Amino acid sequence: MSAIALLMGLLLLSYVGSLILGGRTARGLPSGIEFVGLGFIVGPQALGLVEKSMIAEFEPIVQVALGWLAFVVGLDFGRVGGRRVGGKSITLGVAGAVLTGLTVAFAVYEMLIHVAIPGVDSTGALLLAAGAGAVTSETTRFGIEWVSARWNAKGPVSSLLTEIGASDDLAPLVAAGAIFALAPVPGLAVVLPASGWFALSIALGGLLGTVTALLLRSAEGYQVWGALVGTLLLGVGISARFGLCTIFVTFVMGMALAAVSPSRRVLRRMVSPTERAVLYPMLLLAGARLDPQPIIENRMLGALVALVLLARIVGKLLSGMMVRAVMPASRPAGRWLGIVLLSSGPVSMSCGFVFALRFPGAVGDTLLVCAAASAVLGEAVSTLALKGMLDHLGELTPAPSPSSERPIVAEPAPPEHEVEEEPVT
Amino acid sequence: MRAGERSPGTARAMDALGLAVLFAILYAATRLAPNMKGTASIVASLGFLLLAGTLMSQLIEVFRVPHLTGYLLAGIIAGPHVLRLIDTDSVKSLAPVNTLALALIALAGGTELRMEQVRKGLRSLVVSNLLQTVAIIVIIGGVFIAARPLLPFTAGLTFSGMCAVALLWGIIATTRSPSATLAILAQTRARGPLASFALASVMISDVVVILVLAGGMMVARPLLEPGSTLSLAAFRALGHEIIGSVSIGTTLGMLLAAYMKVSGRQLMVVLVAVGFGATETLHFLQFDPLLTFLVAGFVVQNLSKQGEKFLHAIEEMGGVVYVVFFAIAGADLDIPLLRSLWPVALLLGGARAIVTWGAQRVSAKIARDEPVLERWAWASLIAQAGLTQGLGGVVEREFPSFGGPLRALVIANVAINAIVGPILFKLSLDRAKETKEPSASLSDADEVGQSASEGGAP
Repeated sequence: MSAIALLMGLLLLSYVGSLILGGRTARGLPSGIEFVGLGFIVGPQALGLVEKSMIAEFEPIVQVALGWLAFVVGLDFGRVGGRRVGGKSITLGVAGAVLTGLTVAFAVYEMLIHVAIPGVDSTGALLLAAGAGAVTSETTRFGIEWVSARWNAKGPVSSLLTEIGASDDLAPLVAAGAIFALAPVPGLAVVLPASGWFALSIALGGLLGTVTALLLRSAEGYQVWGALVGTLLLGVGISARFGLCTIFVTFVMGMALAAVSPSRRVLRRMVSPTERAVLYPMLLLAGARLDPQPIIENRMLGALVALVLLARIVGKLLSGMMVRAVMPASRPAGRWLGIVLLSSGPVSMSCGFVFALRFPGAVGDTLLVCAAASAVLGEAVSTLALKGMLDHLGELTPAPSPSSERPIVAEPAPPEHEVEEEPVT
Repeated sequence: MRAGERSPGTARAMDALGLAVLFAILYAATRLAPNMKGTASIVASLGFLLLAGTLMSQLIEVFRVPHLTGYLLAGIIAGPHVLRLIDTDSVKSLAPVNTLALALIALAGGTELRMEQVRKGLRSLVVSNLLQTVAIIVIIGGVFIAARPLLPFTAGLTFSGMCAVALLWGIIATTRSPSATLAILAQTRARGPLASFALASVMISDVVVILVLAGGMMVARPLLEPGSTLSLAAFRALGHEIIGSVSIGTTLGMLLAAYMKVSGRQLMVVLVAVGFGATETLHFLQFDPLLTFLVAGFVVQNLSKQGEKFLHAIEEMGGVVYVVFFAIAGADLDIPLLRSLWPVALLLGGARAIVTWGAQRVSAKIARDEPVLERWAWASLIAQAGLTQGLGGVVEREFPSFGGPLRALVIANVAINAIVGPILFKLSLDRAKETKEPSASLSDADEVGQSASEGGAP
């Protein structure tokens, strides 16, 4: 397959994705794992239609796509359907993700202390453990939104889970930013401690978000897209140049833009339909990039992936217990609440992909496999468990006509004046 | 005070601050991470050119020059010959942007050509193109021969050989810049006889020059290479290319019109697919993408009711792509070469401008054009850009003995005309009072959104 044919295929996926506006319908699977599978099938490990060199050729596009997705997450962080999520839900979401991430990281690190894996040195072990924690910590909001849309869920538990899913993206993205700061690229003319690189990531994202807001104040027509895309490209390029985590920088950029721009509401309306259009091609390329070879060659890496999944289940169960302890409204969900938090998706895959690009070899490839395996586990377990739980709680309203293309109505749309509390200057 | 109502001074100060921050960020990145090239450098360069081009164009608006000049300036300053924030490899790697930009330019050009306007101005267009082509080839060719002492690469040529090189130079001098014309028309939203004439004339001359160059090379070869004979093979290939391009362009235009009618969704994705996919296919089939897209746009405009919608989509997307396209062109301008060749480039460029002005005055009198065309139409024909360089490349490939230095002279000449031409064209549109007010800003859009949410608008 030629590069242009691959580009056409990606554009076709992008077209399909753009028809599914902002994840507001229940088409396909919530995590989009089918596109990862498709990518794997056409990739160099299976049919070989997409060659390794071609994936490398598309790396700039991949970096930009990953950056854009994180930017959209940052711009809309802490909001569900335009409504601001309460502080308690955000704290719970982040705490749950941190708890899961730490559980996974601890388990992996303990294993790597006792078992030596060829190609994974002490720094690699640290990166692998921390990276595994980062890529498996989230609960995707798409999973909960998907169930809500498909079976018309409405109630306190589905609402709380949606809010948690929308808030916990912070943890894996910050973790990825911190992990990248631990391993700056060689050949730089400046030497900084890890905390310095992490602070630089935040400063760069914040500065670019502010510059974007500045540019947007007088932007008209196409210049709005120009300013958004331009600052994003600059952010991705500069952070890649320093070896910083691109998705963390653009996530901060999105948050900074949302904080300082008086046009944040228009911007959200503009960019949210692009999410799926960018996501599907990215997932396909992630699938094509999946390389199980190191795991096949070294069974201990396979065991490590299994351990990651097991630790993730434990972490999410602990998170579920924490949610039940803090939020009385969630108690009727039962002690297995954590199981429904197992769904993972775009943010996990993005994290896995940036690790695979930045740390090619055993560490990066294993982390991408962990992200994909985590998404598959979520699809297999969490989606139906969530449906069953919401059914049990009586939060599924029988729809007049079963349709899989109904818009998501997790919560009734609030009045417009409650949607955005910040004034537009 | 609303964001959109800031004083022009404050707005300009903010733009200057933004530009300074961008330059500082890229400067710091290139100095602190000097060895990091490849993907990171390409992506950062692309973003920087897009932002810096936009800001620079807003900053220099005070001089009433076109935005395009700002894009070029941003590229020149950041490029490999001045501040070296963007290296040569990155500039070369950004070539795919040009593919997309040229496709959009040609599609927009074709869509802007309305049958009714072309029919109305046909006499003007035919007379102008004929006169301009003949006058420039003959007179500029003559000036080229007269300037022989300034052109060391012609030292070993016989007089007939010199005439052949002068003929090729004259033909290259007849090229215009469709991209610059369209970019300025998109920026100014100009409507009127001058805007219509400029667009149609530049697009027609685009096709004419390809034909004339094929003929010119056929004539020049026996003069330069005594052993060779006059061959019509080039015309056969050209005929195949033109007929094929028109056929495919018509089909593509009809398909696009049908898509617009049936769905019309996600035109940005469709345009990117057409820009890259169709260009690649056309290259494979050895057809001319520019002519194909021009015809496709013309078909959408004149054989369907989708023209305005299509044009709007291209303008929206093109607005972003043009910034990068011209900023890359600026970064790619060979400033050291211009420094060494500027006297002869200025002489030939100046002579071309004078001949264009004179020929257009005569043409306007013969065609009995409106006074505004008689006075200003010449200004729309000065700019040169990618097409000129492309033809310079063709001559270099066909005549390697002198093609290299001739192409260098073409590049130096383009450097001058790419900067001066758009400024003259924008000035002429302003003077002809054909330019319009800018569209609403994002702040205004937000205001509309706010009003709507408050029940003030449906």
